[in-house]
Amino acid sequence: MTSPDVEEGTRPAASWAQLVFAAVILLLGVLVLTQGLGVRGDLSPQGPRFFPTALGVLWLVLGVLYLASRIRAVASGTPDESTERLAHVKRLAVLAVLLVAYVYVLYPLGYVLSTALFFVGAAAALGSGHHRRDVVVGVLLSLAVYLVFSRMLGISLPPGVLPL
Amino acid sequence: MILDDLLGGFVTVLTPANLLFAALGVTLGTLVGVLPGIGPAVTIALLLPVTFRMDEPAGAFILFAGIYYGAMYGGSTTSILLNTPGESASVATAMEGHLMAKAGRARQALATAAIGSFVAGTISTLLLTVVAVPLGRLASTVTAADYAALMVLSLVSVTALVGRSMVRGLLSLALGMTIGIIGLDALSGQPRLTFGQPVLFDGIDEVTLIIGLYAIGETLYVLVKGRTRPGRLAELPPPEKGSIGWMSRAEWRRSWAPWLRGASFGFPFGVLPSGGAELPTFLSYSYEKRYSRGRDEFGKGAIEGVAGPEAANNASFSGVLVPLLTLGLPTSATAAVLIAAFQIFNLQPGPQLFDTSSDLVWALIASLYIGNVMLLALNLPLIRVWVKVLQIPRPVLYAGILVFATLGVFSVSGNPIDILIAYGIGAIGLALRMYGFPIAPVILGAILGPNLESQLRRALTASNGDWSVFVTRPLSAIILVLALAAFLLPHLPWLLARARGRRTEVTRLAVGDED
Repeated sequence: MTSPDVEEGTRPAASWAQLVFAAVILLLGVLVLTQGLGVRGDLSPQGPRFFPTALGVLWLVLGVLYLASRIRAVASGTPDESTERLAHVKRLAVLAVLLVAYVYVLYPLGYVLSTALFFVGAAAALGSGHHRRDVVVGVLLSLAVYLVFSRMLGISLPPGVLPL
Repeated sequence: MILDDLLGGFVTVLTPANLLFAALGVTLGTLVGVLPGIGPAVTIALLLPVTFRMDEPAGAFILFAGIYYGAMYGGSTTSILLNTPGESASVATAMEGHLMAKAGRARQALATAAIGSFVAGTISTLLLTVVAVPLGRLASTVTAADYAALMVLSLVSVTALVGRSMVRGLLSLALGMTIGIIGLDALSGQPRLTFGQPVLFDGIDEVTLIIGLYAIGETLYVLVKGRTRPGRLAELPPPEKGSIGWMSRAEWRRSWAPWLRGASFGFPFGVLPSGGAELPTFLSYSYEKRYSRGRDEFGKGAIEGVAGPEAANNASFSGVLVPLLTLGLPTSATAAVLIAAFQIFNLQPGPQLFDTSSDLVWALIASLYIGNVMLLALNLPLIRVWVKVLQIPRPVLYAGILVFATLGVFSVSGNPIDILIAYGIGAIGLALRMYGFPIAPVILGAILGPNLESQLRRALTASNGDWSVFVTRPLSAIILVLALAAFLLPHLPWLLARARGRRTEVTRLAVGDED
């Protein structure tokens, strides 16, 4: 894709990571195949067992082809420009924790409070340095969403601890 | 006959409430289309819950049509001013459009894109109006075997014609189809790929999948790429004196032919299962680059390079609606989301739709005409507003996208587990993006895969397990040959070189980039 927003120069994924990813894909193919074969019934194409099994076989074939192409690329030392190295692992981890925590506090704290907290945290994890602005935006956004959804659209969101 | 139906559609749309929906749709669509990283597919997926409480499906579909069109207009604004294509169909526009903007001709580029979209959108909506009913009648003669063949064609062409690597495309497709069959088998009631988890018995909802892959996956990817500040916007100088609609007479003269050519690329390629707008926009771009009057200016900001692809982009949408409405066959990721929207209202797009919900279909078609007019009236005068939207700080923008993505999944299912599933799918989307796998085949595979399976089983049950049903009927045989051709086409340069006994570095054609 042409140069989008300002971004840091990224590097292609490391060779070992590419090989691991290809191996994971192959293993997923095995998983799909065993799950497909695990469906009860015969392998007639009219039954429920045929399609997932065929899908598993297709996946295996493609997985082997992909792994072979990666091994060839790594052996010949050509970096794969269409891949990306994992960067900002710490921020990504923080964001992942925030996302999961968001789901868990959604009911106990209620929509407005948990969303405002999540918004501020997520913006910080995504590189924002203006925390005061984020707090204002987060509170207004979550309040507006809550009122529009519960009052106007009739979709109930968890009210939680705030007296709304 | 058609005219009566269409007039009936206009009567439905021209009520105050529905006009309001149309205006709301095009505004929301443009707003979200302008934002980098969100295309029309995810916009509609995020806004699906808004329509749950609507009594009239017509209003919802008028809203969606507006969102789709608006997202396309908005995408072209971003491509031109910021060189950040919001979706792959705008990549061609960005090339010459951003060069024009950097040369101080941003207004001309925006104008030729918007007016060209209007012209091409109107022409292709006219074509849709004319061909929809006859094609719908034809579609009712289509058998299960033909359907299965059509879906194979649709899946293969999306995978083979768009994106760079065939193996990766097919793996994305396999992943999508696997996700699609998770859950209880509709015919036998057996759980498949559920790992014994009752949560998965209902399968994975399309909205959860689309929001996870696009909205959440894209946000995580943005973080990995460190894309946390907006790029520099091109200047927007005041309109030149003596210009009509921001363009000079000479620019109008150079634009109208590419508009018409773009429309004639866009509509047929939208109708054919060829992956939506990517292919026609690139064909239009290459044609203008080689043959148009301004071909010498390509690389310096040629107006033809904006006029053609944008017209093709817009025309393809009405084209995509043809197989969607007449066959129930989505041929792009966004069309797949529209199918999900139909299902919310218990409507099944397909040959019967014109009989059972004729009013709704004609209201939808009429709203396309209205939406186009509204966008033309709205887009250019409000350009300062869209420029402000483009300058939203990226952390705020993406944190907001995560909030709305979560809200979208929550209001569809009401179950926190589904939100976690969407996040998990987002992580998969991140991995796919990092390793260069296209996203659109996953969505299409998940939606078409189960359909393909059921048509396959129906066809084979009717034929007592005889696979020759797929080649003895001329229609299915022809469609399968087309699928094979779509599969081989990208390898044509390589095959030709091999046939001449030469080895070549060029291994395959690549059109566009994945979503």
